[in-house]
Amino acid sequence: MEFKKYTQISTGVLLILSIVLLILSGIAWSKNIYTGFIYLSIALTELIGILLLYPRIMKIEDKTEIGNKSVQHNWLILSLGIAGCTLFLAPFFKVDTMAIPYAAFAVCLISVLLSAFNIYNAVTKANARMVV
Amino acid sequence: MDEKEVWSWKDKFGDYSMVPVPQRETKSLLSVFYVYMGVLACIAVLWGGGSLGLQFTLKEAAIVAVVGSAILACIGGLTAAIGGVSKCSTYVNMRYPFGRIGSQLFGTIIAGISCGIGWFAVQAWLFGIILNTLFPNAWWANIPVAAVWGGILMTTTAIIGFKGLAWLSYLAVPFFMLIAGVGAMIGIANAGGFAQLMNIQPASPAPFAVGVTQVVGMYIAGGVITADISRYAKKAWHGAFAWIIQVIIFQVYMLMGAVALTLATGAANVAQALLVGGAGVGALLMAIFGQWTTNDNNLYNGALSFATWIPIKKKYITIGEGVIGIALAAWFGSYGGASMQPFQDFLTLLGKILPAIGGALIADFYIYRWYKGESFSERYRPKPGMKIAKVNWVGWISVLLSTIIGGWMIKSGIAALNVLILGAVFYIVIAIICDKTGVKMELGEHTIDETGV
Repeated sequence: MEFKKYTQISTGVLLILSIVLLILSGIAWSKNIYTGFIYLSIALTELIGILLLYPRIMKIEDKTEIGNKSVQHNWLILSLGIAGCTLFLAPFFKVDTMAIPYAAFAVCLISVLLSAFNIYNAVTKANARMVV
Repeated sequence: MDEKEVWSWKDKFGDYSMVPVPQRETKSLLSVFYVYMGVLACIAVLWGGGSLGLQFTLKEAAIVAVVGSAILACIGGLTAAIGGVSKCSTYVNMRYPFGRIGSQLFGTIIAGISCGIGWFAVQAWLFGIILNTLFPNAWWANIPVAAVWGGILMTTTAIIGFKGLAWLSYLAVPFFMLIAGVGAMIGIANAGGFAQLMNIQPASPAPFAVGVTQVVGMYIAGGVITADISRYAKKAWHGAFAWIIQVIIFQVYMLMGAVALTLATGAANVAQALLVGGAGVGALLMAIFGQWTTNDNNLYNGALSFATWIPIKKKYITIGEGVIGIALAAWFGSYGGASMQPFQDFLTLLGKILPAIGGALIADFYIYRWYKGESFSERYRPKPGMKIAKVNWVGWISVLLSTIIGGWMIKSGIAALNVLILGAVFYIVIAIICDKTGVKMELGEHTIDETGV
């Protein structure tokens, strides 16, 4: 698959995941505003981070340049995903039902795996730099 | 370096420790910002915030944090721009106001011994203490054991160089920022709401100036050596901009997160307060990332300064520093977490000299070179075959006088700022007097070769 196409599709998947997280943060907010605020911070930062990638690569055709941009954004998703994985199952983030923290944990875990793969892919397939 | 300019150097010691960073190796504004943020994202900043929380109300602490951070933004912004123009490390830049021997001597004192060995050991030991506090029964969190494996982690990224620091910062910084937010939320939740948090009175109130001194003192060392990172910036202003944003916005944010947590829980130990507050594994990762991202920078800066006079690859210097630092940390840790206070006092003493060096550097670059009619973009730009002084006695005398007067004799104001301003004033006054009277500032002469030595 063409690298640009792959980047757009994988970014789309990450976008869906961040929207799911946004919905979960809305539920968490209604149960506990303080916990909900952290859910929302992670979801919104991920969403903005992913959304910004689209316009940045839209007009670029150079594979390496697309890879470099993808690496920048995926580092952010990776870091926030790790944060989500370590925090959402902690006692402070417990809301009425454990389904929400576990769902948020699962979403973050998938984001971590996908963003890590995206970085690997950009470096190996597009000769992108890990430090841009 | 201009993009069209031919890079005529040989990077014999690695990581451009002695030569300007070539344009092709420069990094984006975001990268430079992330590495600065990596230095900021440390437990010491959260502890600093915790300490403010014991002395000020939330509103007072916010004013203290903003004022202290604004001072740091000015100092670091000025020094970062020097690195952005010269593309050289702080210790190579110091050759101009202090001479070659001066840069080696002062660089070794402030960065090599102080950061690279001293503070590295203290932070590695502290890493052991924090993990032991969080997990008192785990063998891997035993103080000397944790100090050793933590020290090895920190050394690894420092050996890789700028890239290593950047990778780790990419990973750790957003996480750390989030944890500061978690701290604030736990604080507000524990207090029963934001309005209640605003009304909490501190346990031991202190004057405004004391708080500002703490904020400035906490990070002034970082503010003086910003060129070590900004030399990698694509444009001269990138480093200064990145530094100012991270200090003015993110340092204030992190300090306030810790203040909220401390005001609500009464505990200045942020890691423990987070664990008790229910942050779970996040508290552990915060301890690991927080110490790691800062201490690899300590080692990195130290190695850059040693590289000015130890003619071996920088990575071997880093390994050497790391081994000594880890051994010291494990040794202190193995005495049942014995206090490192005398050692820390010694390092604080060495740290008093740092603002003076920053002051002389800023005065030489911005005022004296302007006075001499040198164009801004050509200042501190070394070339192979260029002659530099072995000793610039004006720099030496300025540092000596300002450290003694500002560090010990003047009892009011912010000590670090007093020393920095005095360093700049002494330098510029003596240098201009020398210029007017025809007295030579430089003693001896050294020719820079293609390896930057």
